[in-house]
Amino acid sequence: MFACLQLQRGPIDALLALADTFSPHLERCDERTILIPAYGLERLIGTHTDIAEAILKRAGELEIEISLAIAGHPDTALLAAHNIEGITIIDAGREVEILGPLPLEILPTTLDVLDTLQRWGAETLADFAALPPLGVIERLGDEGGRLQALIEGRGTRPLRIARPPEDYTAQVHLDEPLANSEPLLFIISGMVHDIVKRLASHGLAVSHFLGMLTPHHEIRIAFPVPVQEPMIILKQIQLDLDVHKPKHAITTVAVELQPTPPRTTQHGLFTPSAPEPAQLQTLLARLRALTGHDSVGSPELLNTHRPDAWRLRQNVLFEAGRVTANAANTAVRLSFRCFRPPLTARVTITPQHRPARVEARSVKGVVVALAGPWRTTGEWWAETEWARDEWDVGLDDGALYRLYREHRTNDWFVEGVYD
Amino acid sequence: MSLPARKLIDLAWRKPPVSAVCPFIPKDLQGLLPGLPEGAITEISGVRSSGRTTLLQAGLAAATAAGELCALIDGSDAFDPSSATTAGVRLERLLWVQCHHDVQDTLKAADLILHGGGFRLVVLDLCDLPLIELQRVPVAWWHRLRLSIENTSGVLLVASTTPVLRQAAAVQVELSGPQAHWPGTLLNSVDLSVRLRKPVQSATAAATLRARAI
Repeated sequence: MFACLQLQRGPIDALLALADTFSPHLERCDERTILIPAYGLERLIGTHTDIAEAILKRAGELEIEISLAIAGHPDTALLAAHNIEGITIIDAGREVEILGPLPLEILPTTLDVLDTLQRWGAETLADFAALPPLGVIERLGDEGGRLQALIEGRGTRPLRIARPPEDYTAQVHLDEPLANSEPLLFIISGMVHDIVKRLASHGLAVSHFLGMLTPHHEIRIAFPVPVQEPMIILKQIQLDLDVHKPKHAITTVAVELQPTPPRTTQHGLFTPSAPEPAQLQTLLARLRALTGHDSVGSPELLNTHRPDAWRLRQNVLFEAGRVTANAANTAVRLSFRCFRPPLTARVTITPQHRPARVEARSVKGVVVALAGPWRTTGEWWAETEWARDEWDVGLDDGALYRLYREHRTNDWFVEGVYD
Repeated sequence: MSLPARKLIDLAWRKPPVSAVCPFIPKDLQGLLPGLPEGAITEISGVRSSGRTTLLQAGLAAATAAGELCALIDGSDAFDPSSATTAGVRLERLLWVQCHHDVQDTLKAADLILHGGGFRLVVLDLCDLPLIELQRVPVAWWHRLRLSIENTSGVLLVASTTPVLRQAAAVQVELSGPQAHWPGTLLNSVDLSVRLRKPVQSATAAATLRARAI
């Protein structure tokens, strides 16, 4: 049996307190309606009438007014509480007798179904319940069967229990300050294992890790895909601690794991293989520890004409690949290699103001062919302003370079080489 | 830096390299080389402007267009994303690791990526790195990379100024003598001379590839 409590007058917090008095499990149907299971209360309180009286008595103590319905199906109890004031106790088999006089419009269904039922001549729930079930299902499908079962109190469904927000944090005060990362990781490991176990039992995974090491050290790790493996989280923490070592001995460790629904993927036979996201993230963390945080990622061009404008993105590689084109038949394009930073050059100019000879670190020769100048300017309103004349030059050793002269300083640079 | 310890018996019973090839090379070169061998190293060498980067980016363009994830270990931070996009590389499927002219870091990054697995094409760009340092790298390191990729479906493409991988490379391609075309006042295209150094073929193993600049 299920009890449905609909608030008529009073604050919603009091209704929650009332429901909590009788059951820790409750379903929030809407802003003013709550469903609780009543099957455990029979042994504790007595008959359904006793249960209803106990609930009303407690409601009186909390100074609220409610409509109460008790029925075998939670949705039947909900229907009764919404539409019948006061106490309604629907014993098994008496659903149609009690709900029958109610008008058809109260049924939780679409206007089309209601319109069809009215055209059939049904005006009350009793009229609808009297129709042959097979005929109703033939004409209205599963929806018709569901509505008839609702009126007759047939079947049941589990409650959608509303859980209070869980706290996925842990804190440890250390007896002795710790300066080494290894024992620190050992302590964090125990905390992470416990929290991840709790998360997994709730069907959740981890999206972010936040570690606060007192004093003055913070570890923030964002996982591009939800993670349920504690070892993967710990590996990331270890790599972070290797790169950013705490400057002081740690006295308190507090960790927080942010929950998220786990990742669901559909693999395909013809999808190109790619690294497992968790392994890929560990690999990226290792590479960042080796070459620096801003040296690893997927390049993305910025929406500007400024030369060499790009940024590195971290999480884009986790999307599965898809065949987009056949590049084998496309024409081969001459590629360009950048010198970063550009090489400062000494350029000899002809009377026609063209480069004749170039000297820079690892670049030296007489210009035998050239194209240019190509003048580009932009972003005069920002610090990234540029204004320059570019030249493509071929030197006597056969190499092809791109030179440019900055307008502001009149200096020459070798930007890169066509290769 | 040391070769990973392996039992002799493991080496003796090692499966022979897979003979399958990936068509990640330009169509004009497929007469010279049917494709890049899977589970093996292909080395491209040549001087500046000989077309090393053009071949690397053509490979990346073909692989990323086929939906594969690729990795580029850039020894001298010379990769130009704008040029790569023009060549057809899908940047969202490319992992770019900049190694800031450090030979040790470059090789370690390549080792990490190859051992991590999952990347179909791994490009190791050693151009512009100090040649003396590259020649001092123990041969064992190149064999370590070869063993990492062996018996996988991955391809390791290495580019350098002169051949440095010696026996570790299954295929060696040499580029030389680029011929630039300057009709009027524009750099229009460059003819790249491609020669197959390894495997040795009886016929003249050379081809010319035209790379458009505009």
